[in-house]
Amino acid sequence: MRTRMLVLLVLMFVTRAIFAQTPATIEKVEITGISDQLLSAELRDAVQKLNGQRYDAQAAEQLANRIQTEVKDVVAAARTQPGTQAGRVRLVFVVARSGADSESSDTNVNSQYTVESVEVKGLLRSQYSEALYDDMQSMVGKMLDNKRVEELRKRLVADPLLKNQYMVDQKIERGSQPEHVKVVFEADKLPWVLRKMFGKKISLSGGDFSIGKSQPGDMDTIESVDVAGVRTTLISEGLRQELQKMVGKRFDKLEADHLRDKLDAELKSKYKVKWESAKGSQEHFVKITYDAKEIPWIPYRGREDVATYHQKQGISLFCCETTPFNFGVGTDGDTLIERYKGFSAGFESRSLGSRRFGARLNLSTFGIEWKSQTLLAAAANPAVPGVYRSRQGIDPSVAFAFNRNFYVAAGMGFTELEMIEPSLHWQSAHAATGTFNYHSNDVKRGNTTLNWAAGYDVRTGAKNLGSDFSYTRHQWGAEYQFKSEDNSAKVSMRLGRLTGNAPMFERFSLGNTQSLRGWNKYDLDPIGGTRMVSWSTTLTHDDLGFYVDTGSVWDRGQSVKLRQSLGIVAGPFSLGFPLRCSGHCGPTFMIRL
Amino acid sequence: MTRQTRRGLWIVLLVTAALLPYAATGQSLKPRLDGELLHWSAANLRFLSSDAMQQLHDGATVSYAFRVNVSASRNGTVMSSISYHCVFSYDIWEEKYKVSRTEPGVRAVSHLSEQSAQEQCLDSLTIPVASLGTDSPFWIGIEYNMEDRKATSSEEARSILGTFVEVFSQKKGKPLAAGTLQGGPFRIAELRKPR
Repeated sequence: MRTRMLVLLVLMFVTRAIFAQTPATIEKVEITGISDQLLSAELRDAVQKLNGQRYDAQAAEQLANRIQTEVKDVVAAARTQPGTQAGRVRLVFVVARSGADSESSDTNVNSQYTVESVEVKGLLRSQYSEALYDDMQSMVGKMLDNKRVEELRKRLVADPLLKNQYMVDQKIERGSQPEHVKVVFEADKLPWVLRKMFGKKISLSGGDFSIGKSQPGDMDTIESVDVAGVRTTLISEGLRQELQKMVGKRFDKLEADHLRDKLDAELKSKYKVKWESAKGSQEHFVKITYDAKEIPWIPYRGREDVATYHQKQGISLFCCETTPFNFGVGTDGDTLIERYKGFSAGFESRSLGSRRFGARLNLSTFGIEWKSQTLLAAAANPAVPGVYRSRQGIDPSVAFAFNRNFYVAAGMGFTELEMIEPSLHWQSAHAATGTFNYHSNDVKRGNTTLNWAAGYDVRTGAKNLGSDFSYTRHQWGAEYQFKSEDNSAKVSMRLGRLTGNAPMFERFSLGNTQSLRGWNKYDLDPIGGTRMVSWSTTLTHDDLGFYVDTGSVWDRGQSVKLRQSLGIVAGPFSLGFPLRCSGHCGPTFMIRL
Repeated sequence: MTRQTRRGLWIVLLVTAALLPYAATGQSLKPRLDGELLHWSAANLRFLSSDAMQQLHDGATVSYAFRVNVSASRNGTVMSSISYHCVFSYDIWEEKYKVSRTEPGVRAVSHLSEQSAQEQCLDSLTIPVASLGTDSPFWIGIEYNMEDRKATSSEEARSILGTFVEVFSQKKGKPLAAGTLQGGPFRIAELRKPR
């Protein structure tokens, strides 16, 4: 019985503690909705005297009525809120404007203040447009409009010179005078990786523009305008006059760009035109020069830079070859069936005395890594030449262009391979090489641009060239591209045929970040094949799109098994889905920059 | 200690443990009947995140979305729900907060402390009594989340690259604040009783 009583007592205690009623001592009094400075000192004192008192609803209501009487056009009510401890409350006098002001469309309380100044931190004045600057400054002297500030921030982010390069935040700060505020836009450069991945190349003054480079300001006056690199007879009288009309006027970047585009159009894309500025003879004067450089008929023929990630094949990074002298270094497991790492160096002239002639010499030395699948398959297939530990090459070639659309190239490939089996020894894989290449001009119809290209490569190794390998490798390729505003389509096709006894680096493979995307080349054919067919269609809208890849790689005498994959692309990222696959295949994530 | 005493203590502990969750949630949301509308308050209320506070002190507007759910039991099926939005701003001169319930209907109160601003917002999330039975018990769950002020930028959101840049460039990289307040069981008949 005593135990039951004990239980009952404890229960009563717990229940009472839990469901206790609202306490009644005022621990704090607040006035909300208006500044307490609007109240008389007497009323403020009366309100503050409630601190520590027991809550009396009638007294609180009377004070609320006094607030209504003292301040025009407001309604006031007393509300209690739970205090920090049991038995205590906070008393809040909620005051609201009874007029239309209480339903102001701008919910930001700082909209009652006047804008004293608008600043942009982290950017040079020349890095965003004149119109945007003017719009920002038009806020000065007016009441703060938070929506307008946000709109201007968005415009700053979307400005062509800053898009995908900077992130911008806005801040409102106290001004130097009471009830005045400063609007500050803070621009921070995105990390290098993001700028490289997402930043679009900005073409300013006809060439690539690096942010931060000094440009003439709108306060500069143009002293002279010249055109260099092209005979003036190729430019119409009207355009020449237009160019000279800029002299004596304030610098206007839009006008300078517009005239560059007109010059480009008159020269029919045979020249690459950019403008450059230099200091004039006096302060705040600039000289503008339109520099037209003839576009060589022979394109750059070196190794393409590779920057890829394949979920099953890893990272490949090989860069950065330039002209005329080139030096490339890195590792590439994407392009061939082998992974090579090392460097290449050389020289290339795209215009050797005449725009019709070009020459190239390249030296390379690579260490080679093989996947275990390749080693096993090579060991099981004695007809395939063995694997090697290193590969060194010297590749001289010359090129001749019939016109700006069609060129041929011929050369030699002197390659030495350090074979692993049966014991380490060197073998030569010397080959004569030839290339035929055609690419169309851009065909423009309204907003639509079309172009296409086709090419054929042949490499043949023969004993009389001193080669231990005797083979001929043919590869045909064609590509068609269509672009209309944000929509684009690309269809490409490749065919390959290899006869004779070719070294491993000449064998064809599919299933990387460019062909049969989603498949793994080491699952399809770990030693590559002597025959290859590949077809790829990619459709994109802006940076989003999808692709369908089809292809097959096989050896002579084997049946052809066509494989397909579907995938989605988002900028440099893609996710490929191999179709009708079995075994260790599945969606594959890839990046190709 | 006799066997009976031990049994009694066990009962006390079990009953206390069973009541504790009710006690806790009872403290988190308290109803107040004002005419035909139910208002809410909560002790030690704090839903404005540190990220939101930083934005407010930078003079920006911070918006929170609320969904008030009514259910018959604590984790029961939602019988009805109402959505609200509260917009906060911070007066950089007076160092006071303003809160506006933007929808449904506009209701704004300024010159508030940080605590009062949150309480005013919660107080404005009313439920019409007519939507609740007089004698049947009900539970209230208020879900909230901070809204991303930059998410509405169609220009920035249009391109996937823009989206990546926006995502990767989040300075703090923190998820937007979200949470739930809960309370119950309540009965309208009990709330109508004078205290």
